[in-house]
Amino acid sequence: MAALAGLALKNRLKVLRAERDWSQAELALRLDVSRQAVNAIETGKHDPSLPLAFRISRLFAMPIEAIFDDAFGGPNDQG
Amino acid sequence: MTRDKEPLTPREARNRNILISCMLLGGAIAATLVAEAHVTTRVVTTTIVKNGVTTTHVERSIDALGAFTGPVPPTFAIVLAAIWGLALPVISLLWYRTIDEHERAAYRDGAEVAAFAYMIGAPIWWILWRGGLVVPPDGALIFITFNFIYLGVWLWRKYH
Repeated sequence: MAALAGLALKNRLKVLRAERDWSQAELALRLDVSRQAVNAIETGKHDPSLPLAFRISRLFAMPIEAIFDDAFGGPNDQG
Repeated sequence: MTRDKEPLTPREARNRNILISCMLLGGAIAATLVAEAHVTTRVVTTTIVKNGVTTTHVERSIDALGAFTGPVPPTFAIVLAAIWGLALPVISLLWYRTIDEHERAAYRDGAEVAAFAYMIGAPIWWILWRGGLVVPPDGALIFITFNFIYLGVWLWRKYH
């Protein structure tokens, strides 16, 4: 229900997938999730769990912060 | 379920196979239930005596809902209860371990919404019945409604 609560993360998953010419099904296979899960993450309807975020990060060889953005800025911006 | 022609991932295929198996099992149980249930036949006999002439009118009607709410043989009831109480949790556990986090979240959201609908709707029906305003609460109808809401939200969250 994260998307309904307005808490969904922005992400570059679709762009990164397109750069590698992977379909959603291919990405789903590599991440061991369903195609619906990939679609939901790309469209911001589902935020991945930490383990899945780490798998995505390792798959694309990029830090999690380079893929997902919570739009809250750096640690100094909080409070 | 895929919108394009891409094959299902192994996880999706396992998920689909378990769900299809459950639907087939449920369908078989429902069909057997209909066959085993005693369908109530209502007979209304009206006798009119007029001018010394007796006329009898017999009207028969079948209570179709009795197939779902009527009595069943005790052995059949025990077998069904055992399947529901033993097989269903095992299948559910196997399925829950097969699905990914997105479907797990969709399933939980369905349960949450259905639970709220039950917690709000059932007491309303119950208190209105106690006030003499509506028919008595029907357990089977509440169960079916709960599951329709559960299924609807689950599928909407999964595929929307």
